[in-house]
Amino acid sequence: MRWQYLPRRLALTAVTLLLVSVVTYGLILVTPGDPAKLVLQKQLGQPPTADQVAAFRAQHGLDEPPHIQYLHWLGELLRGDLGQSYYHERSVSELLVDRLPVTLSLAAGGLAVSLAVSLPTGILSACRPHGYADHASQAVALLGVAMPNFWLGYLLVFVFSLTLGVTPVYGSGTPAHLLLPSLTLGTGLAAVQTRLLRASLRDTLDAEFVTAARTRGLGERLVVYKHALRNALLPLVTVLGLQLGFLLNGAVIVEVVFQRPGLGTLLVNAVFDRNYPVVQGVTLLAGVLFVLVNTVTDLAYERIDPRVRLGGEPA
Amino acid sequence: MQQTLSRRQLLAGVAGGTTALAAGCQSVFGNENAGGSKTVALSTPLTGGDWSMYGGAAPYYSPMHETLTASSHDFSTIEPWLATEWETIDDTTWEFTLRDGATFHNGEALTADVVAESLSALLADRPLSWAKVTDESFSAVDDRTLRVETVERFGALAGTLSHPLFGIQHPGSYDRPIGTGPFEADSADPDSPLQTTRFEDYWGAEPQLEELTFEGITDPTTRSTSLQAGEIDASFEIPRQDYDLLSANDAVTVRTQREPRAGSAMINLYNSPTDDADLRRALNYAVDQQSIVDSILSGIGAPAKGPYPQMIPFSAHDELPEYGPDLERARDLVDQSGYSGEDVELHVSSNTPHMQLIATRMQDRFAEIGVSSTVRQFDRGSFFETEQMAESNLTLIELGSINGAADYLVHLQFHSEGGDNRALYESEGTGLYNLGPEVDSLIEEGDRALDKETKHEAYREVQRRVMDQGVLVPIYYKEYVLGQRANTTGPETHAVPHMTRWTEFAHDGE
Repeated sequence: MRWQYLPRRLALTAVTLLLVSVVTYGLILVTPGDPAKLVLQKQLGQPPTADQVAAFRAQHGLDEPPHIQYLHWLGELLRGDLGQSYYHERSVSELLVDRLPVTLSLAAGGLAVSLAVSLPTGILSACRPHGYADHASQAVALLGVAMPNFWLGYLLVFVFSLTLGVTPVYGSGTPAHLLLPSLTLGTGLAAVQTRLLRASLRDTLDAEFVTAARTRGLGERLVVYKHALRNALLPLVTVLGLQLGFLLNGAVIVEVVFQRPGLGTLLVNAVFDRNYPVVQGVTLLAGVLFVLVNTVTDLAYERIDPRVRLGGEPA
Repeated sequence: MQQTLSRRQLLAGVAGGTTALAAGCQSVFGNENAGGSKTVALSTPLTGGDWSMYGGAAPYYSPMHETLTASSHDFSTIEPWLATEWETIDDTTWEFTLRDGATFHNGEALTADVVAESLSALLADRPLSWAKVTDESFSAVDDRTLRVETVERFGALAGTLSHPLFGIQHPGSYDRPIGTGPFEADSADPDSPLQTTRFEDYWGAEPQLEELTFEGITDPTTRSTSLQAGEIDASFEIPRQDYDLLSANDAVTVRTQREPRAGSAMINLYNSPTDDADLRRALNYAVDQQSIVDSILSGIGAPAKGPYPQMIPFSAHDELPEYGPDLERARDLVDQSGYSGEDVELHVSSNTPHMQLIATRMQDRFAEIGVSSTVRQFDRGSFFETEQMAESNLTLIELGSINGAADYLVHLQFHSEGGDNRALYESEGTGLYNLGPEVDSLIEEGDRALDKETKHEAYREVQRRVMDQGVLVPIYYKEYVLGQRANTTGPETHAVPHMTRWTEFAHDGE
């Protein structure tokens, strides 16, 4: 690992996050809907008066020019303050801290399920191409990609909760509560991973160094697991990084169906409610998580394939 | 020594682990809740949002906060609650006599001083101007007598104070919900289920349950499946389309209850082409309310004839003429109007999927009478603002009262200074659904009347004029669906579900 790679990566991360915050702020500004009217309508039970709207705007700095509002937010951010939710007596940081564990557990569960399915299935399909297992895995993968998450979620609830009565329908608190959401999320991910691993492993198994290994008299199992698989994992790791990044941004449908409100639900509700500080806070955190996952993915490349050198240095 | 795991071992381990986990869950989650403890599902958590003036929990559906007055189950009368009687002293002064023996969850007695302080703090924090009171309106005459000064003559004060937002929180602390209701809570953690326990010193009927938990489950299908699985004991807002399925389930009971709430397409009087009264009437003749209720609402609800269902005491439903459906008459009116083929815009919110279906059905009917239309869907963040910008011709909304006196609806919708019209009336001299000074005067007369007959007649005349001019297309009167496990009894359904009384909710031991 090249440690000099990290400072450059951190600098790039800071620029990326700054751009994310600017773009998010810009999108907020062009989206119709006034948070003052929305919040007050909810609180007062009917549309607010012009005076009430003006007072709300002044209280939350919404009467300032957009660039001043943004700079004010940035200044507070540098002091570690993400602001206050318009709808809660709570800071944005508190809301994020509340929701992050839910999102992390869903992401971990979904990824674990997907790997438990895709690794054995992908390897089997690649080792026995055009066999029954390969055709079956292709069909299941197609189904997994095509099936909408919400529909699969309801189907799993119907089978495991209502018919068999072995899993809870919704909620959190025990590992069992994580089972169906993880299956729902993991199925779609596994489908993509399986096809990718199959294709990558097939290519590798045809490579010259694998043929050379075979000619040295190594057993097929050793050839596949020790030589070919490691080389075939790089594309899978790339996709895993992207998938994990998206999962950490929140899986709204699964969060709603299984009543596990994480970052995704928080963001969607904040967008609908024009809760600007929360929108900014969640997108910033999502950006941080995404960059973090991609950095870890890059580091994993080097670990898996020693020929890879981060920072552009030759191997 | 290096240990290796074979593929077969790995797969067997994953499968075995999953089976064991699932089997382990069965004993934990397959059971019904114990008799003394029940869980109720709502579409939003009581602890979501800014409810700091109630100790962190919304006063809606709540068994913790109580109001001075209450609406009867059928919405027909205003009943004593924390106030046992009330009287008007003069045009703007009322006195309420407080119940003797009621205590707060912190052990302190309910007195006029405490109530005045509580309501004043509430009004200072959120000015509920439709109630015609301010933070200076409340004062104690003596221990048991609360005086209320309204900002103008307002006959609906007693009913208005039954709104759950006027739930009384002890002003000594806002760290947790402290009311006088039959259940109390130690805390109200944001966005978490609200766990309450029986309040032993409750002044009224003893609560049947020891514990009652309120949980927010946003997805309607998840509420329905959780009820079937026995993970919750009751749920409001069960999807209408699940009614037959749940009715056939012996473990579940479903009931429907009419609400003082209606779905309507409000017609913009000031935007072409719906500024033409004949065209508005034509649109009214075109719509088939019965068919909408039967197909889109699964038969749950009733076809509407006016803006307010019969259960609202001043509803003019019974005397309003029916428009149709009559496509021939509608076509004649289109010919008679100045309509020349412009597009009519129907706006719906993404929050109300059934309204999207209704809008599409209306669009089809309008096409049959030669009126072209476009349906536009808006997220909830921009829906009301777009309405205020007067861009639409028809805006599909559901509106009702969660307040024993529904008076504010008339003012809100049809008065030039009402919430729906005020901004455009003040800036452009127009509005949206306001017919002008005569109707404004009628509404003001109704608002100020202290006797019911005068008030109701004024409001009925408003409805007659509104329907004659086709200010809205009435669509349906709402019914909500309450589902509960068959091993529970009560509570009696309330016309306003937010006012459900929880003392009667119990486990049926038989």
